[in-house]
Amino acid sequence: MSKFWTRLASAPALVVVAVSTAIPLVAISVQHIASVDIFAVWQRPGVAEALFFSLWQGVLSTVLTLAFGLFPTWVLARYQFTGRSILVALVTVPFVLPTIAVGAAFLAVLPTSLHRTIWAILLAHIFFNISVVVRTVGPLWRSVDQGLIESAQTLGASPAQVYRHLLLPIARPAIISAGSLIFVMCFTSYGIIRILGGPGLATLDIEIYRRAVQLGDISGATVLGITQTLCIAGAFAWWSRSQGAQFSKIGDRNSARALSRSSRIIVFLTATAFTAPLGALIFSSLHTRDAWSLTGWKVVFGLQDIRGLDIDLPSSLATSLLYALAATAIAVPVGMAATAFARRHWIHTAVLLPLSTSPVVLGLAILITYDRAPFDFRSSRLLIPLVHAAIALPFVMRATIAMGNVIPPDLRHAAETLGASPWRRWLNIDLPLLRPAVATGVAFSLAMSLGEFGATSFLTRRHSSTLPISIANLFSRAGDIPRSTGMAAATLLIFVTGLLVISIDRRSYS
Amino acid sequence: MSLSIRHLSFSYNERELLNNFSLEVASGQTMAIVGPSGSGKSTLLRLTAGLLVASQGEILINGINVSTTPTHLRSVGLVFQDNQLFTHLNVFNNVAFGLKMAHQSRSVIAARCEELLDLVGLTEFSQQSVSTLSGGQAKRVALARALAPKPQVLLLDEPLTGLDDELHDRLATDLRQILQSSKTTALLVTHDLAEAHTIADAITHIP
Amino acid sequence: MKYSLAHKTSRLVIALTFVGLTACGSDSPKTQELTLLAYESFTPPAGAFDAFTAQTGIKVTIALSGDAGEMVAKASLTAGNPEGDVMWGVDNTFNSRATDSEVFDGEPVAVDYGDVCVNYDIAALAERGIDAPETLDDLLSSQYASMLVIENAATSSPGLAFLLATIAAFGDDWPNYWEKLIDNDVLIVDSWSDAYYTSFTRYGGDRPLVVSYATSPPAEVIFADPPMAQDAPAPTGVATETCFRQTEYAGILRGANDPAESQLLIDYLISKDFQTLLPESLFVYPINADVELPESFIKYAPQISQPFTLPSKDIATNREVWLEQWSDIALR
Repeated sequence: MSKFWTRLASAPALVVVAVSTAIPLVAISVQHIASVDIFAVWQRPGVAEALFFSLWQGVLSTVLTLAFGLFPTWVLARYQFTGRSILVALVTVPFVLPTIAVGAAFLAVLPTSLHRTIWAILLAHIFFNISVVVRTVGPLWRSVDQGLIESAQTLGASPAQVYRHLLLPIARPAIISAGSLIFVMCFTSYGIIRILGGPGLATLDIEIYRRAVQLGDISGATVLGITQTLCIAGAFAWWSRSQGAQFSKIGDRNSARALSRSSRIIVFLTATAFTAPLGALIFSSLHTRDAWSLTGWKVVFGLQDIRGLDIDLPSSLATSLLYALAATAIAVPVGMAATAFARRHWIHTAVLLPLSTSPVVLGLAILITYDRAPFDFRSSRLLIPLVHAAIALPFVMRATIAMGNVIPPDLRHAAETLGASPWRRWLNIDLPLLRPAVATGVAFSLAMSLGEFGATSFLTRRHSSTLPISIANLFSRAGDIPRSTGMAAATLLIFVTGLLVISIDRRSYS
Repeated sequence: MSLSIRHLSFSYNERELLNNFSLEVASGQTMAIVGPSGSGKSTLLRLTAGLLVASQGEILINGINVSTTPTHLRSVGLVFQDNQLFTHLNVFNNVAFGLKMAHQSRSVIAARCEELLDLVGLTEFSQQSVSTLSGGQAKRVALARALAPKPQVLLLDEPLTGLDDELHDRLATDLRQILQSSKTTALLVTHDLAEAHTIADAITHIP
Repeated sequence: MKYSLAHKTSRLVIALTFVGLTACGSDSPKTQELTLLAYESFTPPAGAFDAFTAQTGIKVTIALSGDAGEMVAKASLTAGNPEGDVMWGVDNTFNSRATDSEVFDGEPVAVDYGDVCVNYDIAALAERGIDAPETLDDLLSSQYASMLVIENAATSSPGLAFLLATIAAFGDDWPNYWEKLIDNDVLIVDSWSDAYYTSFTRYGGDRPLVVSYATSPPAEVIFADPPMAQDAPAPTGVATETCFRQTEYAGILRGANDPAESQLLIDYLISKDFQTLLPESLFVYPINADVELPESFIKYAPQISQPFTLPSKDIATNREVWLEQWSDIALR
């Protein structure tokens, strides 16, 4: 492929990032930052604390997620047992679940003494992000030849030594890559901190929100927001120089190894840890005030109309699905095109911009950028899907690259010598082999869009609300019925999202 | 370091791979087991190394029953057919691996590795990456690596299979020499009778 | 020239993006439609605007814009080139900021009001053998130690309202009140749903007193599951002298397409037809005195005769300072 086409293939991704994030951020910086605030805002009360908190809880969450996550990752990658694919699904789905639903679930399952403490936050972060470890380190470990481990054993390595001197070094690029992504997610954590952390624990994102909305300090909020975005992008660019690890499903390739005793314990603990919160949520949706009741579920499905509760949930679900489909239709082709031929680092950093930007700053920036014809997009129906697509882009790209690395170059060369034009070759050889990547990309894009709350709630919506926002609405009303309906809707959202990810992922391996 | 295999039986998926197999290898002796593919030769090695557990029978090293001892405590070295070198480590660190697992001091490790690399004729390759080695060189590194921690028994799985003829003969003689000079008790499996004759002191056939 | 599939796809995507965005961009001024910007919990029953459309031929589209604070922040930023024609739901804590940013065309008009008060769980208090509190001072009494849960004034609207109530009640001495309240082991949580659904005894928590709305007791009755008996009393009550009045306003946005039509909508929003719908959908009191309150309100909502209030201007001027001071006492 000539360089021109190579560069052009990455253009759509850059357009998406530019339109959804880069241009608005530049616009709001230019228009609304008072230069004095660039330094002054850091001295305002609460800001330094928020930054410090974001940093240390981000680092701690990352370290703990990696430490705990590597065990189930190993077991899932190397053993074959009944229920394995269910456990993989259980562990990998939380990543895309809406924070509001998970927050509710955790509040239901954790003892009250842990509420509003850093422990609740750390546990929730681990819950969400173990998926990243499994999907990044898992495939790598899956491909480790058993003979390598056996030879280490014959050289006197105990299981702990095999782990430390063989498996960890091999996984190092994947661990770094996973760690950097987890750090980004935890640093910018908003919903979980709000729901589980309580007052006094504020990340930079929360402080940005507070400044912009509560205090009307748009300039200060923008300075904080832009700084956050640049720092994260910069740190990420620096970290992810090792291209090693990408983000895909660990396949069901047959390995005839039965579970050892310690791995059995890990399986059990993991399964419990991941079903308990969901179980608690389902319980809350069915149980009101010492009695079982289906009312919440009936309202969710529109089977029962409650006077005063005019939240049209089936319509919200439909809207969510539509947005998700639109977002996926954008994210998957754009993301795949960007990776099909170009694998340079800076593209990965560029596509991470939307994800690392505070939804408040992003929302405000879009608002003031696209307000004049012919760029009057802010009331466009495509705006929210575009933003969703921009957020999902890094994941689509990582999944595609993971599979792209697997295509043997001889196969391509063979096709070329047989006279196949590049796009024919791509269509007939690359594309079928990339199907697992497409599937993973589609699954994640759908799921992330379905569960997205921050940016969606901030951007004005002219048509029906999305499901996460309706859930938030329900939880902001008093009464048994709103509460159980909210729980039921959250459960429904988790199931729809989970099922989508599982079913698409499952069919991804021929 | 004598090796004694007594009445070993092993089945997998209802297929019997070994039936009541017995063998004695004297200390310092190199024993070759010759048989066609599928005759259970590799299985025998894996059982001896502890990578598989027999349904029946026992394995004794120097008179001590190691049948239930885990692999990493058995002090049995294994040279795999495909070498299984650690690609994230260079040649020196591959050879040093077993010594590192035994928590040997740096000076001990350095001395021993130098000794072994010299023995297999690869001293200049010490800092090289293992992915750039030729087939014969890789085999030598695998051998040095297995010998470094001074195992009680050394197992070799089809050590010369797949190497081209010229290399084959040269390595066969080298191998014999290395095994003799290190006085290691060795058990090697192969389907090539001639190879067995060159390297080993004694030959057993496996049905 | 070789066209790769990727090249074709990328061209297509770029084209689609711009076509899509432009085509679906905001409508050119059609005088048959108005956009009503509101906070996201604005959920009037279906058909709430049918009467308006029948009278005027104008269709009303509701645009949901985050919560009240977010809505005002966005409106301030887009003053003069707004996202809609009329905005509903600026409350008295944000009113001044909206006016200062010249968000409105003319004066906004009050459309509804509500009170933020301390609610109590009747059964839980009876269990503990304590009487219900009535005033702010009551809350300082040792018999209510470790019983109250409130929301973070910096992040929650009812939390802020409660703080403002104490400022209105005690003037410059309010920090003193709060020190004593903190000493009485009050729990501060992040949001209303946190306080109400996790800490309030009615939903499994351990605190029988919570800062909520005066209209929460009727809501408890209407949404009870299983439904309550015909003449059963409301399960929760309100401490009537702890209330802060929140008034909500609606106004024509400066720069709206057709101010005359927008005015028609404002008139409708305060008309009896529309205001009758407010109590049982938004759980607020209608500003229009002609509206008959529904039975649930008459039976279960308390009469708040003297709520605390503060002028919007004062709130705007001092908000940051008050919150800072309060955070120092309450959170650190």
